[in-house]
Amino acid sequence: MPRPATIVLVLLLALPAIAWAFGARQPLLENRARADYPGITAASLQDPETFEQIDSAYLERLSLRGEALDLNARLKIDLLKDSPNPEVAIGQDGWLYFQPQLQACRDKTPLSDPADTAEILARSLLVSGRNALVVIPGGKLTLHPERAPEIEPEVEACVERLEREVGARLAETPGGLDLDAELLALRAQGQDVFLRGDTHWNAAGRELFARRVLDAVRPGLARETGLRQGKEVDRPADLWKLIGTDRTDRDRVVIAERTPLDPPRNVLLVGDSQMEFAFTRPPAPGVAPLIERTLPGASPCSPDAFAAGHCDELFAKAGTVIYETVGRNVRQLTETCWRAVSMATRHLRGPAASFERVDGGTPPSATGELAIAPDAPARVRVRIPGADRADAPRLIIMPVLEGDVSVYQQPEAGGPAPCATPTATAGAALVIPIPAERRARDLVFDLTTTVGARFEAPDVIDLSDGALAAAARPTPGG
Amino acid sequence: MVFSSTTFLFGFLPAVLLITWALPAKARRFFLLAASLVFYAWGVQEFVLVIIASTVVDWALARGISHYRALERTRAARWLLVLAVGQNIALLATFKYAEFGARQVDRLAGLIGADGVGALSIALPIGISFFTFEKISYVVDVWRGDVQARRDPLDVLLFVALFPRSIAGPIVRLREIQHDLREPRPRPEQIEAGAIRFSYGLAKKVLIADQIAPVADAAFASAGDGTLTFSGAWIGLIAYTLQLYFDFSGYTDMAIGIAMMLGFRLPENFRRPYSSVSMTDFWRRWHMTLSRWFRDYVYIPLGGNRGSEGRTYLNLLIVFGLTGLWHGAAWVFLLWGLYHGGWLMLERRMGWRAFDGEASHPLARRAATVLIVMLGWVLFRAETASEAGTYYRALVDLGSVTTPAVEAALSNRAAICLALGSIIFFLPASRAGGRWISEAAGRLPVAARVATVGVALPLSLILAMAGTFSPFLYFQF
Repeated sequence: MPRPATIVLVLLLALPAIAWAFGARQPLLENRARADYPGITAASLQDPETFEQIDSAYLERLSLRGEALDLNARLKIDLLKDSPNPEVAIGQDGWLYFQPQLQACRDKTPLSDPADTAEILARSLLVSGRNALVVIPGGKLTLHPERAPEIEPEVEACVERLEREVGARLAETPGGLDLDAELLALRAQGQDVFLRGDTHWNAAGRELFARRVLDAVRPGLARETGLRQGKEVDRPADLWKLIGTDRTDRDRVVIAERTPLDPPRNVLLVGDSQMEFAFTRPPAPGVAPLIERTLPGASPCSPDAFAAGHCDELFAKAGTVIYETVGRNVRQLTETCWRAVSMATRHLRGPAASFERVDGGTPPSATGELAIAPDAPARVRVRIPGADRADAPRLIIMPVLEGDVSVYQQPEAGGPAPCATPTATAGAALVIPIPAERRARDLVFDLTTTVGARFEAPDVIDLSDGALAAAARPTPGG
Repeated sequence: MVFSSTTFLFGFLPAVLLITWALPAKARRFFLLAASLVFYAWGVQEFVLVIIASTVVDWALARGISHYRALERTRAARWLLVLAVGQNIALLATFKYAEFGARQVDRLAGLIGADGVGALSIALPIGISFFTFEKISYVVDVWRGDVQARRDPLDVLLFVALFPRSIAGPIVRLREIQHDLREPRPRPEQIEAGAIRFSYGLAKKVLIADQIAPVADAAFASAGDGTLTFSGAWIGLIAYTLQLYFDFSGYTDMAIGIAMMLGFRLPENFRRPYSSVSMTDFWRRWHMTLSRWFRDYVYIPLGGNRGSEGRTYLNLLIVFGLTGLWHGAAWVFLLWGLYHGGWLMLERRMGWRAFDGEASHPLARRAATVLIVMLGWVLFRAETASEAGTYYRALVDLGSVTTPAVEAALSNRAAICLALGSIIFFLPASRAGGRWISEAAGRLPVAARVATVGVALPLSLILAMAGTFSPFLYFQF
């Protein structure tokens, strides 16, 4: 006859299976698709990943797991005042914070300057003749620090400093927007701009962002569409989900009352989840996403998809590019911005510059062309006409005539230039930005090729305010 | 598969328990062997075939040893013993020590400007140190006549593979479970005690060890990046001391509990080690089955303490050097083993050896012993001797301030679990918690049983289901 402890143990261990037999199924708890059960073959049974995949698939289908996560979260938060997830910090009054917001100062590679990155991206988009807006908004820890717990004071100060630097640079840059300054102004009036249990802006923050985007696409467009906050809704909060429980935040929808009579065309919205929440996701069940009322025909694209080249065609056609990425990903942007800069500027021509071999290898020809042998890297710099250092950023365009080539920066002073094209093939061009106040001669790089390569003499593109004004084309309806 | 994973807790274990109980006694061993091989294959995949092959070789050689011993052909039997022990040591040397050996050869070759052997990369099958020692004990016991060679190879296979203890011990001898191998017959009171013991072990692992692990991890990571300070070093060391004990002894409790529910009685492995009154006493309480193995199969064959004083010290150093290397193929483990061997030598030389109940100043002795053990854990946990050096410096650097990473890891729950776990330092040395909670009579044990099964078990299962599990520390040994 079974004894009590045996009964309790077996019942508890079998409870998920019993619940499953009675129809209980685990809802989708993670913000991603469930792991699939692997195919079982003789070969797959020798692969440790097969067993890990079975473990994951089983866990993600286990009945009552949602209830266990919820109980765990309640125990830890309500009883122990701890966060069940180290990525989520618990602040005052139920405010939650996402610790990876600090990652921009935890991981300091690459070494390119984020403010230079933001400026070069905005100016490059403008010099191509496009209308552009670059926004790199800060996170909740910096915009709502009053309810945040102390996490790592030095790192927090570093992130705040970094976000302010990027914001200040964007404020001075044509095509840039320091949204944080405006969000902080709202905060100064006592208005919250983030949701309590979420990493995203509340209606006030989203409305401000949408207003600036619409007016950047076409001045007055926000008013024209009647952009405003609407009814109150309960929104599932992503940080609560991260700690394993479902709670909602009270929020309002942001809606547009009407569609513009002459909707802007060829608008590309590159942005992460803030852009998605503001424009492309329905603000409430049955309510159309803002993009459908305000920018019908505009194309959304995530920064990851953009970096992977999935939006190249949309970019080529775009007359207006809005580029938003949150501050915690700003170092990632220094690595991925090359695609936008390269696509926008590689066909531009400017004053001729010249290659200089630093390694004593074969110098450029009399016409300025540079040839590189296969598997023999050439260390070069570019001598540019005029001042070696300038107040505004510049771009070096190096058209590739033959072969394929990769670039590895070896700066003699300072960090590597941001947004430099890493590889190019014949018919394309390498674009190497020179940040403002940097000496061109310090930017030394290794060019490598597997099949041999030949470059045309490089050109230099000026990204100063004057040059941008000359390149600008009238904004439709503006 | 680890005992605190959801696949094990909510799939494998209840299925194995229910099927085993439902099967007729004669069929149980076939099912348990199949289940054990599936359990083991989860962690090592095709290496399970190596285990099977090597166990069959052990079985055949043990039969040969027994045969020649019966014919009094000792020389032939001895050769078979050497072959059997040799194949097990070769297994261990290949999978556990070849990579380390190649690195040392390369280093030496580098010193004299010669070419090395190049880097080797061999995956370490979990539990290899445990089951090779068990296999060695079987053939040696057959040679010594302590156990009869089994006729049926399935008996030896089940002994080696039996899943509750196949990957982290306790190190069992065949003679300890031989009567259960053919027809495991768990009795209701044995199942009940096993259920309580398992619940107790799971709670130790999930509710205490896993909760304080981040504090220890943060301290040792800080030693690695040079940010460790005095307070962080001591908090981290206390956390690691408790984590290691609760993790390993919790695993042992679970292993013993599951085995009981399946009809096997495994040997105890811990008896309040942090209540020891000397280092000699500590090694009779910590990982007891390993100490016993080294005593019976290395120390005594080397001559034990029957020779000169110098010879005894040498034997101690050899045994503890090997004990260190058994835990891992790295210099820090060897140093850790020699550190313990050195203390045992000193105790023997100075007459400081003592055991519970016979020691003068027991409290001072307990404090000193636990401090010595804790300082040894630095070597055990550090990745390199240089990291251990950094850690030791932080332990005495009074001038420094707090360690940010340790402070961040010291959540409320970690602090509560540290405080709860620290009780182990103050408990009497006479009783082992696992047996007491599952078998003792009286009101207090009953209350502890109710709390364990009624509160700690559900909480542990919630945490196991909700959290990402952490691997057991002892898997690589």
